[in-house]
Amino acid sequence: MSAHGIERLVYMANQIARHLVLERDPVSAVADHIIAFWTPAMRDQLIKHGATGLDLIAAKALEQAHRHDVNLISLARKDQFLERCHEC
Amino acid sequence: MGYEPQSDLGTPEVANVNVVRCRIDGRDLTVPEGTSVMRAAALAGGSIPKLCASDNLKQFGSCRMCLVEIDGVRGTPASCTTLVSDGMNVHTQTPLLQKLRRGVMELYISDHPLDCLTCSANNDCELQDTAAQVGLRDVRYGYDGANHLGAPVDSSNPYFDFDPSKCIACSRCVRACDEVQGSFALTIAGRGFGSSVSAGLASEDFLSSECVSCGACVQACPTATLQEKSVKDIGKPERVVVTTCAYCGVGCTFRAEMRGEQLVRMVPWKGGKANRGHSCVKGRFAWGYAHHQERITHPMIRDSIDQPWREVSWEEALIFAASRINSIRETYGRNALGGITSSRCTNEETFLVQKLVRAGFGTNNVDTCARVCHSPTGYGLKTTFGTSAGTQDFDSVEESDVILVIGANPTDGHPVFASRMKRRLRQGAKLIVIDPRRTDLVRSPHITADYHLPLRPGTNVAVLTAMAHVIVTEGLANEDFILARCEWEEYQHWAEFVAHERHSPEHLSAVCGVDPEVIRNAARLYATGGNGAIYYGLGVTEHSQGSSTVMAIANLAMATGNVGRRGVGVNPLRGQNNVQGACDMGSFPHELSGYRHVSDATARALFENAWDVRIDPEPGLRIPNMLDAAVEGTFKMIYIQGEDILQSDPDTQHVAAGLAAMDCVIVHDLFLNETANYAHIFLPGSTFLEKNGTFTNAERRIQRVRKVMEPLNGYEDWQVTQALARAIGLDWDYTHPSEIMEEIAWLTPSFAGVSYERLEADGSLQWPVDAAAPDGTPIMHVDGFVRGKGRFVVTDYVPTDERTGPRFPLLLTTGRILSQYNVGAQTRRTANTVWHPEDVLEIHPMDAENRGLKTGDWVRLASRSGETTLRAQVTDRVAPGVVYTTFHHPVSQANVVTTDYSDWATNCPEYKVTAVQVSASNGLTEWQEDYASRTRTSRRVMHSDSAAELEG
Repeated sequence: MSAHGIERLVYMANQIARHLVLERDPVSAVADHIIAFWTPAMRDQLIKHGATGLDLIAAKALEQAHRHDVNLISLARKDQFLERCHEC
Repeated sequence: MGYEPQSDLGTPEVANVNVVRCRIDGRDLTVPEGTSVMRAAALAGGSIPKLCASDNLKQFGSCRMCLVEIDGVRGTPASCTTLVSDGMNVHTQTPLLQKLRRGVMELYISDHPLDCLTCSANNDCELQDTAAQVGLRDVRYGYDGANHLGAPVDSSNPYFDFDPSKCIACSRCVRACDEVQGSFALTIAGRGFGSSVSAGLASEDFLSSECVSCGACVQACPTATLQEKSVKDIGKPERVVVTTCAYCGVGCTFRAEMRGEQLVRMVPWKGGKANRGHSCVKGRFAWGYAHHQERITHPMIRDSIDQPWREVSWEEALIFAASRINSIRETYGRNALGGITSSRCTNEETFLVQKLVRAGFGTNNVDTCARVCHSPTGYGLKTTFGTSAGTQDFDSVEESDVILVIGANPTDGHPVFASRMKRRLRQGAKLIVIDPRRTDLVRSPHITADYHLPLRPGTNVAVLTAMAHVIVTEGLANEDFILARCEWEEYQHWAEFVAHERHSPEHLSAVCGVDPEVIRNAARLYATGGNGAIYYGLGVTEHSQGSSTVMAIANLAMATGNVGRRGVGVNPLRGQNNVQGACDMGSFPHELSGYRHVSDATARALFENAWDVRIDPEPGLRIPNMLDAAVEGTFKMIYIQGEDILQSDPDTQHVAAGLAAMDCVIVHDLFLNETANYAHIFLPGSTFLEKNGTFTNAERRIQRVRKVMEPLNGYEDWQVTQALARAIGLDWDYTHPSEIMEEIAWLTPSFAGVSYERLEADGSLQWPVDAAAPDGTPIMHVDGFVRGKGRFVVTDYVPTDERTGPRFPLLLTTGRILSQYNVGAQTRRTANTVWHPEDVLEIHPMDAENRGLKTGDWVRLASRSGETTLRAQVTDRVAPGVVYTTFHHPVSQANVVTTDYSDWATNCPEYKVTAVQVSASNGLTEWQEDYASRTRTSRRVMHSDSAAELEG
């Protein structure tokens, strides 16, 4: 393979999808796996890259992981906001 | 403690709930039925003279020293072969016995050199002790008769000598080789007076024989006939420290027998619950690296990797390191930093390294060498059973009826456990071996596998799924167990999947290359043969489907009800001494100690409160991701303790590129390893002999590592990590590893009951040690799985993307050999190189002939990743189309050839499947020559006292 950077991430996502395709909810299984084991920077890199080269399940899982990350970010912002309010 | 030989009760312990009562020398006692008179007398505090008896060997009754008198019994029976019966009245010391014993002893001594004062066993010799015991004062026969005194000494073995002139033909060595080691390498040749111990044929010496140098014969010898050369060189030990071996995951405990600060010998400790008094050539003898001239004992630094190293003080090295770490963190952020913990280091040391990374660097970018070996075990067993560990203790194998070994070569990789497994097989247990190679277990003295499934590399899941198909479709599944213990719906989903015709052995045979009838028979045997135990190794995990294979194994065990009692289970044979411990200690980037995900707010809060820092709730980078990020320019600094990723990790050239791209590489190790070629800071490490701590072996057994000598570099490894932590501003103040263990126990539920006090009192503890199991847990999942109900996971066979083709028509698989260990950093610096001076390429005769190759020829081994050269060994141990090599020597660099394909779930590299071509070669490749040159340049050192001269 000798792929690195974004090529490797695309390969990894597709590989995970291939192995979780028989799960009852493969998209969620792939998304959960990526959230559990990939750093936010890796996820972010793949999200910025988009669905090019991704299998259907991997692409949908990426969207799901992205929604998770967005929620987390908004929660974190909310926490920060509340913290600032508390400090005020 | 001072030096005392290990006690020897003469005959083995008998496990029997029925007891018998007897009287020995006027003392009444009760012993388990089946106990010998000799053992009973020893248990009562007596000591019947003996020469051929030892409590790790079966009774033999040959030496005639242990005679006793028993009321109502004619003659003077041997106490070793006479079992205690109810009401027996035994006399061990009578005038008749004294006379008989002296007479026998006279015969022994009449053919024994009288050189006690100059003998290396003087004052540590059972023959000498027994002569004293029986009151020998004279030898009436004289010493001039026919004798063996002129027999030549065999010094061929690098670690021990065989001096037949001192042999009393007690057969203890032969029996130890048979019964304890299971090699059957020794025999008594000749008859009567001509009887003598022989290592195979008369023309063979010990080195050229089948002897595997485990040392069992040396330990068994009651004289100086078989004796360690180190005892001859140094003298009798004067003190003993019990500690744990730092080689494989068996976790043998040894008596380090010392004279002053000098280690005289390592003798397996009978009290060790993992090894039960046995050892292998590595643990027993290969510890000389600890004093090897290439040990680095002073810190060294350099601004860039093209410069020579400069020896500096600890203070300067730490300030230099802290300055670089702080500067990189300020410039690139905390996620540009990371660390790697070592499975060779103690639990306490790995815990501190991950703590340094999480609490000091402020990132979860910590990983461990288990990434490249057993990370799929972590994923697979946690998913199916609920925790990342083997289910059994080693003793469990004694109750197995069917042993399934897949992707493991225990006689080479885990030899002490293999000896116990072989003993059980000789007792009649059945054996299934799933391995592309004909390993020693498939056929060796007194062992023949009932079924060998020589599958194509990369098709483990196909074979296991085919076995599952047979079990389900032939109604062999244990549905009572499944209903009670597992998630029934998940089982049904899995059963439906494996029952499909496309998963039949007949269908999958085309994929895996194994005769379908053999698969069917193996599956039937495993499902119906009684207690079925699965043992597996890196031949399972180091594949693109490593995690799937672990889960497929767990599925099989659950489907047949082979979990939760003695004799069964799923047993990962861990590669390095503390792989289990390193994983337990939170070395993975997504887990805190005790396998709790970093996103678990409750677990995280525990650490945050204890450490007074914020722990990142997101996983960090794995090793391959760190290297990728380094090449991309976002990962800048790494602290690597006790790990040589340049040699051990796949796709060497990519690893080198990653390391070269970093601004700060700190290597903390014993030697200037291959990774250190790319390092800026070298912190000298300490060996296992020089530190306190604990290791956790493959059976989850936590054992003490005790310092037997002062560290050559001045500090134990945990102290160095602490000094680095303090240099970057942390306020750690541990004064002893026991304090680190207290913190581990406080933060890790499965270690809650572990402390040094408990370990001293109990010898060892198997986690979980908690309120529910205060004395530890030898067998897991007894009443229920850790996750509640066992989970069946559908594991479809997905072929690896690594494919053979016209350019690369052969499949390379890699492994290890008995005498060498991992990347060879330790064993290459011992006399073990006599058995394995270089890595060789095993190739089938047909493939060799097609290429015009013969044994000893230089061959070029090429893959898509790179190429290397090494010598060929033509053998039918490998199947046609498959080649095999080891990775113990940096000059051959097998990992130049391996690819960066990896396990889908964990990124564990696919070492076991690489498409290659093999062709004749004239010698080293250009890359190898360049690498050797670069290594020479990189290892230049300006010593503090000669720096000026070098600079000039």
